[in-house]
Amino acid sequence: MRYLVLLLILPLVFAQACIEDTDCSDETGCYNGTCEPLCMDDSDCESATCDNYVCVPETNLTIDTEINLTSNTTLNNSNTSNITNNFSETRELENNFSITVNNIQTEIEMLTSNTEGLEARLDTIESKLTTMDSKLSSIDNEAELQALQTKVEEALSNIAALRTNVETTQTDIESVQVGLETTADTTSLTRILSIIAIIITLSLGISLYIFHHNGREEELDPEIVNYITGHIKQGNNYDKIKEHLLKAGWTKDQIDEAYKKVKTHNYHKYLKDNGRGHEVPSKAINHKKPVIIASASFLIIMIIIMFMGSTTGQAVYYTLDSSSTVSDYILAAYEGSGFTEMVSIYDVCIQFPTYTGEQVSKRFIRTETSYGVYDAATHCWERDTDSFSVMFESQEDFETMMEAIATGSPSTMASVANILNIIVLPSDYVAPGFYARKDYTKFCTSAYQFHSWISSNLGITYEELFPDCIE
Amino acid sequence: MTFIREKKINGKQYAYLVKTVYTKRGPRQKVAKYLGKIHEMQCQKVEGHTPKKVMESLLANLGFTKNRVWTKKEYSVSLVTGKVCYKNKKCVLKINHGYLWGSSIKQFLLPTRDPKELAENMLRVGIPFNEETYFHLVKNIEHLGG
Repeated sequence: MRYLVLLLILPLVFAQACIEDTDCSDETGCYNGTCEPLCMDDSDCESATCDNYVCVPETNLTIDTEINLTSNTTLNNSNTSNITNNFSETRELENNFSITVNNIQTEIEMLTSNTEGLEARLDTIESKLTTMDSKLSSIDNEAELQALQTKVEEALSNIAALRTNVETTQTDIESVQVGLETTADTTSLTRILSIIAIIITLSLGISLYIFHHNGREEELDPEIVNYITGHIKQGNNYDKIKEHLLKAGWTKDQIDEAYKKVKTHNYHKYLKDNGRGHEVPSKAINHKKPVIIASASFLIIMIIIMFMGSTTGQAVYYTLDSSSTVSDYILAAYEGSGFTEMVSIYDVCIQFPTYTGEQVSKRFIRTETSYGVYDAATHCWERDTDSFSVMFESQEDFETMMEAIATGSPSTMASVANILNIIVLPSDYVAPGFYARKDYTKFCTSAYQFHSWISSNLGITYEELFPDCIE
Repeated sequence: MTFIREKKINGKQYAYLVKTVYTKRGPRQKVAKYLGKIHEMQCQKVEGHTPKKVMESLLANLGFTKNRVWTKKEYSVSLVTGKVCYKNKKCVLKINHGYLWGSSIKQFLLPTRDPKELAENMLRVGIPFNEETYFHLVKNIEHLGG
């Protein structure tokens, strides 16, 4: 029995006495003067209570018994049986308590494992709730809702406006279609009228020309006529006459021309003197006028070639509205007529008086890589270094010509050009005297496309108009 | 074989102890235990001649102070029970690609006589490996009679 008591007392005797944690070993902490095991939670302690990382000893039955036993300093025989009975009861209670504790511990372990799972789920739920809260707060924001509503209303009104625009556009398209049909009809009518006008103009021109020149003799210098006639009568041949005149300062061309004219003059005189005046031609042939016509046509054709290129035969109708600028007219003419690689570098100066009377000069410049319309630094009539240079008598003429070029039809272009008042200004290819300062043979391939039109409309062959194009 | 697997849930990392099980469809991973939320920390160097000293050096370098248990703000680590908590909830400290939690702490503190196992335990718990420390620990093993 003594041993039993000692066994119960031993833990109390050997319990470490302490004041601070440092008085205890690493695995224990000081609690109420006693070193107790360290813990993180109740599950680490046998007593199931962990306080401030130390297991707190509970006042249990065993300790009570121990205290009772130790307090009884005197033991007698009469009490022994009671003690024994008490002890056996205590043992029984202790066993029951141990079982209960074990059960509780098992339950705690189960609960702990369940709690761990629940913790994880709680974390997940918590984070989801946070996300939902943030979303809800953003949605619940009344101001935002109002702003959203305003935006929706705005979008709806925009859609309504768009619908109206679509309807308007449809109406516009319909009117444009009607306009196009009308324009097509008008264009056809315009073309017919243009052709009639050209025919009338040409007829009038020819009539006036014939009337103006009818019966006029060519005026020759009497000095040279007498000189050449005298020498012919003396029996001198042409070479000798020519030699004398060259020494006198006449040029070879002048001498040739004068000789021919003297011969014609004398022949006509001979016919008249011999009563054969009816055989004299009714009018003299003026060689200068065809040259002028041919040169002007040459210029027009060249401009057409450059603007039109290889789209000959393709009918492209353009309707330019009144708001279009001058540059737009020129670019539309160029782009509408097509583009050719045959003529890659050139510049054209175009001058005309606007409706208000102000002179405008524009340069259309094309390089190998680009093209464009620019304001000329000086008026076209003040310069002669462009490839070609023309002046229209009015803005209306300019616009008519550009529209004609934009049609892509060479006959239309030429017809319109003939009825318009286009003044040819000095330039590289049409220098004063209608000769080209520069070699125009690079245009020959393009120009040849007009050969049949040239012969039928200008009364001159392609070869005569472009002599340098003949190989 | 068990190992730790991280799962990202709503942007937060959680650690699970998973084990490999063999099924008819081949090997599959099965979660054996939830270990807690992962908190990352960095430590460059440790000192010490024994596993316990090395562990204490690790915690000290991480900013923990030794009271009854090792604490740092709301973190607490007990080398006795091997529990690692944040706000009284168990968690895992991820240090240098290793994981500091109950099992890894206990495993590292247990005496071992195998240098290879010692090195593995060091890496598993996240102790930065350096030659000097490892040398002393191996010497300690030899002292133990390994």
